[in-house]
Amino acid sequence: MNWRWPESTSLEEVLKVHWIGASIPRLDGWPKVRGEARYPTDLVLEEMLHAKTVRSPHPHAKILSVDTSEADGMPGVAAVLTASDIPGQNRYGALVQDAPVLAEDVVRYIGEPVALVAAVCEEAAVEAAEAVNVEYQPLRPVTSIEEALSPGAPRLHPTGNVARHTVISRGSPHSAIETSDVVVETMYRTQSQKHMFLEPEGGVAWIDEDGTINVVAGGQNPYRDKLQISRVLGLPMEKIRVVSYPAGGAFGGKDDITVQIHLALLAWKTGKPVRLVWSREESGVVGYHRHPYRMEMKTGATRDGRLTANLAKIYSDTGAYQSFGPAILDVSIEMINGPYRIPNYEIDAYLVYTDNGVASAFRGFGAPQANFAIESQLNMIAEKLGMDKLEIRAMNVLGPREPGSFGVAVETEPSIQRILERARGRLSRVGTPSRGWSRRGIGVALAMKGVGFGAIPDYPAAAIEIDPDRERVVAYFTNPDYGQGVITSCAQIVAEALQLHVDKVEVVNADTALSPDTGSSSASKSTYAAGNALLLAARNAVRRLALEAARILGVPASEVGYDAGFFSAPGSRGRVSIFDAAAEMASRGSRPRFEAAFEIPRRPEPVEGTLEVPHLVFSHALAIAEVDVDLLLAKAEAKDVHLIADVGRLINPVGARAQMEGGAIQGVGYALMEEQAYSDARTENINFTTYIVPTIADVPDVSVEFVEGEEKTGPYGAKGAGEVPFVPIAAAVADAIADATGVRPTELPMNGERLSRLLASAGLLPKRLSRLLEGA
Amino acid sequence: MALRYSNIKVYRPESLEEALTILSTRKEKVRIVAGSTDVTVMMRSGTIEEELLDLSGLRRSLAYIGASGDGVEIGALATYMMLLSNVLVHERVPLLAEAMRTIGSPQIRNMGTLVGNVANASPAGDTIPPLYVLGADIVLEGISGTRNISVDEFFLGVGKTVRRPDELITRIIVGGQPPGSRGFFEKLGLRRAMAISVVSVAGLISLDHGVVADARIALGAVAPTVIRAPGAEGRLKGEELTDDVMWDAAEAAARDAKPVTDVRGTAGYRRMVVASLVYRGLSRVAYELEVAGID
Repeated sequence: MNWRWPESTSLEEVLKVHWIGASIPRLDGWPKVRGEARYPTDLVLEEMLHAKTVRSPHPHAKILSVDTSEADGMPGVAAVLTASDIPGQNRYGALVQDAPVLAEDVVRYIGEPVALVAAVCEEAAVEAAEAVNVEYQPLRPVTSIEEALSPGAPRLHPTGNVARHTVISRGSPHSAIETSDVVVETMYRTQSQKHMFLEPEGGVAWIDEDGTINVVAGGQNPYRDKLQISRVLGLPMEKIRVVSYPAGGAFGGKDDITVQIHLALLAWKTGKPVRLVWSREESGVVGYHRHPYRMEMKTGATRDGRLTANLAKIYSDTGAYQSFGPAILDVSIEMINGPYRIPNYEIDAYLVYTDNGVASAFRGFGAPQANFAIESQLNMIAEKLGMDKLEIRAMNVLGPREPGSFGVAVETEPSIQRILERARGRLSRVGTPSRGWSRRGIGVALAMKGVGFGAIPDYPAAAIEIDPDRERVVAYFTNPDYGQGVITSCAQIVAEALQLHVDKVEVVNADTALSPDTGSSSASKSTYAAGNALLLAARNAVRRLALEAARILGVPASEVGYDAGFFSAPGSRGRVSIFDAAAEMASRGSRPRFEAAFEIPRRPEPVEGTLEVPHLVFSHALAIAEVDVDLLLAKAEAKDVHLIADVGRLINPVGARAQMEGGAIQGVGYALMEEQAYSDARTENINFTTYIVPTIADVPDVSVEFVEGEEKTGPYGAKGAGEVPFVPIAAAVADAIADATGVRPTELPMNGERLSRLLASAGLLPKRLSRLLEGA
Repeated sequence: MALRYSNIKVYRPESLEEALTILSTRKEKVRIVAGSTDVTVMMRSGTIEEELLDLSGLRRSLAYIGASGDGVEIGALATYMMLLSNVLVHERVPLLAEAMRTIGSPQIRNMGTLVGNVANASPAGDTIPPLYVLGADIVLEGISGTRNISVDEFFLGVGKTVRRPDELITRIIVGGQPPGSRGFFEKLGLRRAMAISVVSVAGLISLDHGVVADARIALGAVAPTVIRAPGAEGRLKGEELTDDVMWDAAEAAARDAKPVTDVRGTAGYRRMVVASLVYRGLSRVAYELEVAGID
């Protein structure tokens, strides 16, 4: 197998590869399937208080007064906290700190926290929370993108309702559209999607004997959470420890702050251990969700299928606060031209405030919305021109190292070309297996997803400790494993780097007290970031311990080589194990622990008007979906999804495949059924009964093939696998529906309600049914 | 006021007499619990009384299925899974079995009971439309006596029935599918399992030489209670199952429905789905007849 250190070293020749590409079982698998793993919401501490959040019942209101006197005096109540109890800054937010930790004068969404209560038991906390009297003066809510932008709409923030407006253009897009042979103009709408992780937001906090606040809660970036806690509590960073492992699912929904600051505040104020866990319904109302989008697209091409211009207006509903909204908008901007050569474009993008909860990160991070639009556009252009849908992509896709819309290449080797080559022949249906009212369609979409934060600086740091007593290598990094498998892939990378059995490797994950800052598990980068940092740390370990080995062997260090866990030198008798070398180092009082930081390659300046455009590393995936449309019930069911992906070299093929399958399934939910509907800034589908996710019975056959490229900057050639499989699913499913029926859905989800109206408008529904639908 | 779990009083009678005595004193204060698949949800949402009458001590006497005339008698604690494993149910009321297979998940079907589904009186309860077309007597027992209520007189509205607070449904007697009749159950949920019906339809069609002698159609989730579809039934009687007749009946059923817009669907969409499902169910019957070679 062909692999490299991040930079070449003399050790390179002697290392052997064993663990890269091995589908070893998940290291955290057994404790989890046996039920032994203790998730943050499982933890019970001695004399632990139970907390409850007092929340706004209004989507938009002025707070006239908050009276805690009744709650304060209730039996068992240890603390009732309001905005005035916050020692530091009463604001948080991953990018911009614009969200109050506890509301002061205004609430901007239903469920916005106003006060916190801690009591000796959960029931007492609930009763005390109900006894906090908040007097509101309801204000007119802003319930949609359209309303937010309309003249005379209530202003949700002093700067207005537009959190950000970015225009990026190149060439002469308007005149290029006018002179295009074909133009497709479409408006797309996508919905709010919930993460629906099995473990809701929650955790515990306590104060150490030395006065450190410990917060254990499901999260995706323990160091950023720690920073945000320190700002709000006005405490130095070293007084705070955050542990975010293990988390019972996240998908982006635990990337920004959920319970962490509230927990820290309560523990700090009461001096006691505190537990705060959102109920499923609380999570449903106030947990984050995917940004709903409205996208107006006008895309042109020549008669022979070459793209000429793309005009895209993008509106993103970020809800009451920004959270990751600006960065998510960046990703949409970066994706709205796809991986295609488009000489003229204009992207006009808005991030808009409404009272619809708070939108934030979700697998794909702005890519799925943009992909739904541009890939549908491309499929429609192909249809208009009578072109093969793979052919039009092959014709327009950027070549390796060819600068794209934002001046950088979307691939360094012919990754997309290989994917398109593999897809050849797969789009031609074998007849049309249509029975009765059922029509089978096949559709395609191509996706890319940037790995990492693009132009935003990111220096993941990790550590490796060689423990001579237990003969174990301990890897420390903080990208939380919330189910995606980063612990296992990183253990494999460390085993590979040190040429040791993976059983010798242990992982300490996501603990700010024990590990340097490796950054977040997000942006498809946890294996890429932690893996690279650990590789550098492993190299440092070998280099440093070679000095110890040289001392034992009595040879100059330059003569010492390392092979499969042992140092040796030509002409010298015997060999020294890495653990003996570490023992030698420890015997002189030095800790055999080696840190290193990796710099994720980036362009020094972002594209003007953005935070993170462009990315330099992209994963790619093509989805082929087969869908049955029942013309009697106006219902679509995904029957088969085939993914062809390049996520770089596979560290753990079974783990990578699981990411692909999970992404496809969650994507089918997004395409066909999932929707958190807001009406008057209120949402009703807040638990698993009313928020519909696919069950195993709804899951199509998912098959996966990998085009294993080798990413030069990745650990052993890996890129990222977490998000890209999700991205093309909705467009591929829509294309399959269009193939089956001749009409193309442009709104998500494509549920019976929407599909019936679409089919009726095209005259495809039996006439009598159309009449009933229209209420005639 | 929040519900304190520690405040909930649970009665767990060991005999029917004991259960009825508790009911006679506690009446509407107490919630009857069989499989608890609905009650657990209500407890979470805080919409439940603070007293529970747990029937699990009565399994020996109430978890049974027996023959009754040409139909079946179903005890209050017979779970869906018991019913689906019972040969009498498959032979005599296959329509009911078809409906129960679509309920919830295996876990729900292991715990949930048919009588509980009836007592809960949701218009989306999937066993209820089949009971309407098969004909069923709900047996209510109280300390002062027993009464049998026909299923079509039992329901008053969403969650409301003629059961008096001191009465317990001890069993339901379901009529068997008449020889030569064909039944269907059609349901549209928002997914393939664990789905509450957006619309459900049960039909029982008796044919005589290809002509509909009797037609019973019941609709779920389109009115405050499950309802019959008299317009559709009238259109079918005396007719052969031609495409026109089936479409007419489907459309009539949609007009018999009185759907509302809620979290699962708009009224217009529900009305359309009623017609789709009735047409689909009738088509299945027509197809079966064709395959069976009955003219």
